[in-house]
Amino acid sequence: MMNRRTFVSRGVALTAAAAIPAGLLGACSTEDDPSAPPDGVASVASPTTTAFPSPTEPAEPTGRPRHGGSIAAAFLGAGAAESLNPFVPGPALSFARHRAIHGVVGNLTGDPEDPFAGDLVESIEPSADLTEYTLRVRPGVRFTDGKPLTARDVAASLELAMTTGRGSFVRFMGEFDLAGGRVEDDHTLVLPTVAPIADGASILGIGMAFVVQEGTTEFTADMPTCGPFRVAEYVPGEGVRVVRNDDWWGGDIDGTYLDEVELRAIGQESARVNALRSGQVQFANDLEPVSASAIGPSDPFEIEESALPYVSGLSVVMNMAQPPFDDVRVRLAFKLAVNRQQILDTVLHGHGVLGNDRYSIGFPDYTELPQREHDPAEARRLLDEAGVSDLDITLTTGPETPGMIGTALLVAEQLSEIGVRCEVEQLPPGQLFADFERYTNSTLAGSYSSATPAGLYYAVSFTGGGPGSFGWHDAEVDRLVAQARGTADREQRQTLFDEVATRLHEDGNLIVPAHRTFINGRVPGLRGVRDGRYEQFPSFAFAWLDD
Amino acid sequence: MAALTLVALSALILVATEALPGDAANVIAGPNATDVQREQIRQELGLDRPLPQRYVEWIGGAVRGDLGDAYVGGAPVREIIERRLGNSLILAGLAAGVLIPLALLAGTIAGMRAGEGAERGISLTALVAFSVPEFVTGSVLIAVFAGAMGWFPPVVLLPFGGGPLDAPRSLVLPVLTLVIVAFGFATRIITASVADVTESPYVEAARLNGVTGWRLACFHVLPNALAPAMQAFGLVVGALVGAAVVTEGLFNYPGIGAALTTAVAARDIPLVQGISLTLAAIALGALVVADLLETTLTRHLRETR
Repeated sequence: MMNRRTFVSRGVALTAAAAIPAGLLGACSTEDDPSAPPDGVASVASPTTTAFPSPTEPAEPTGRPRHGGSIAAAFLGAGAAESLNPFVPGPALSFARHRAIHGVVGNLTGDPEDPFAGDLVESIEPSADLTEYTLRVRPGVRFTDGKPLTARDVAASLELAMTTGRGSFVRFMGEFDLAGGRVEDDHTLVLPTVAPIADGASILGIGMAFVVQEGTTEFTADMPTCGPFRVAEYVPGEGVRVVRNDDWWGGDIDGTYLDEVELRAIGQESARVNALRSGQVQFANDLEPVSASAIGPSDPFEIEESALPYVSGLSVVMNMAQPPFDDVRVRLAFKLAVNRQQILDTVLHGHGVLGNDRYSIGFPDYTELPQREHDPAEARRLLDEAGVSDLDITLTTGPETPGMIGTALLVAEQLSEIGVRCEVEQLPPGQLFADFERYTNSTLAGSYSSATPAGLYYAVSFTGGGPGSFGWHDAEVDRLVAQARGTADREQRQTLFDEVATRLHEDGNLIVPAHRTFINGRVPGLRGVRDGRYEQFPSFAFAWLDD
Repeated sequence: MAALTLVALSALILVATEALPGDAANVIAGPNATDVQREQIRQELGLDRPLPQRYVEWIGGAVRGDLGDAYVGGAPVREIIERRLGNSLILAGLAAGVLIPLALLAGTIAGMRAGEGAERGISLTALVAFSVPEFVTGSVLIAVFAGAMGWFPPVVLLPFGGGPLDAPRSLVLPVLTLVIVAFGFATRIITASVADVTESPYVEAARLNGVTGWRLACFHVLPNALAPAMQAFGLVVGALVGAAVVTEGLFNYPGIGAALTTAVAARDIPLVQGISLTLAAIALGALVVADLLETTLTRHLRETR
């Protein structure tokens, strides 16, 4: 089992993305040194830091963690109606609340050698033939009503996720045969897979596997939980006040340090910045790159950015089911027409990392390929060769995540360099994915991706050529991905993923100019937020205040 | 008549929400869901049933006070509206409480001094207030009074378990924003009405009898000018509740306008319909009250004469 210090020194960031967040810190163990200060710097360094030049390093923590104090933190909320079901993806506030009060099976580390960091499940071991996974449930954990956590709770939670949950996690979990699962004893659960998969631990550790008590039929604010905090007051749509859970299993080791945290819903980003600036909150989640760039020395707060792999890929997708993108030369011409550095510099103000036309950067199964260069001359030649000239095209997008509109506008401008007249159609917030049929029938669509391992992303988005694949349908690549995911040997698996990545890079329909980091603002005296490993939706499990 | 209008509006609201591109099933399912999962959610939400059937069920429930359950979270729409409407009414009430006397004063001065500097100054102020978008007005107020001066908080964060009146300082800027935005419209209506009355024979007769200044304004001009201005006040009060969408979003005020914005983005149709119907009912109610007041005032003036 990996202890907290080992985990920190490996420099893995357990944060998450919009649709697939990682859960609570799983790296605490009884082997930890309670007097050790949080190592904020080490915790943000990713195994792939060489590919990630830009994020701001956090301030060096000063002093030692201390107990006491309270903070208010601002997140994007759901509005007047919101779900307390942790298996239903929601806005940032919902995830932050779930992370504060619930435990999870575990988290992803980003480490190819040891991708799973246990939380309520200490370890996950696949069988040799990859058809079964054995989950060892952490002993000594209790819910807030005093009942001990057992393997039955974990099994029931995974069932609840499937029956009441939504989103990508439900699709990922479809790879397990939950009906065939066996509770072998109070702390051992065996889950068969539908087909042999090597990345079962990645699915269970992706952070949506929250654990609730067996027998849970509805999700309420006062339900028994086993996270670092428990709910004291809850106002739907406005926020929640959580107080330290003194019986939290991780509390024996490090904290929770803060007495209480107010998680506040503040919808507009400018309002979150204003609240932080005026001292109404001490932490503000998900700031715009332009806001982060405008922060000066006189501002009473600092910014922290997420590290790889927890970034969001901004993309332009070409619909291969429609001309002219059914021609690989046109797709390549569009890729070459995009000046990625310019987008990173001007749209993201440097708060991100250069894209290379694939998502999942920083995950162990992501393949580093030579960076695609900006080459408008070659792009024009390819268009001529394809017989495509005088092209009018519409790029459909919406403000679903910071940078999407700016990226689309700049791509459209860059396309004019190769003689393509590109009009950007900006949809109102929420409409892009709400009108899914229109989105997937767009000739050119501006989109984004949350942080997901490459194999899983391909499996849910591209395999079989569904609507979300925008016309990509390659049975051979589907086969390679399935083969890679079913290969136990890591090197062999990576060789197969490398082949998939090369095919997608050359023939695919995805332009990813840049990946944006998640930017949070915090007052200088608030330390240790990153020790919760989760900068996009922090749990504040290890956060503390300076004297 | 008001009831019939409300029924017609309810049908319009349903058609309008139906015309919103996309549906809640896509929002709930997320972009990576399969077609089967989307269809399953669509069935769970009842979106696969014909529109007339859904309308009959919805309007039948609405008559009984049951506006259905929100798609997101499943809470009863009525509960959500009750929670948020009270906050919006407080905001609108405070704004109206400041606006109406202010607009009456400014409109009376401007109307009685037509062509003079005071009239030009007030008209210009009203025009600017009316022309500047709500978002800009609010942002300027935040920059000046929250940012530069630090007098008021820029964001409304109500205490847990408390209401807007428990955080009075945080109400100042949203109320001021609403007042400024509505001031232009209300003042121009009053100005026109007062100017009209000022030229009437009975005001002229009062002048010839030696009545001038505030006595002329309060006892002869305003009572006669108020009756035609009542409809304008009705419109303003109704609009203050509904038009708070931008202000509530800007200041993070937990009112019904902010709830409507997020419900539209989530395609939470029952909530959009419930809130829209409530706002329509409030606007209608304000006009009905204004009608009654106008009638009462006119009758009283006739009897007095």
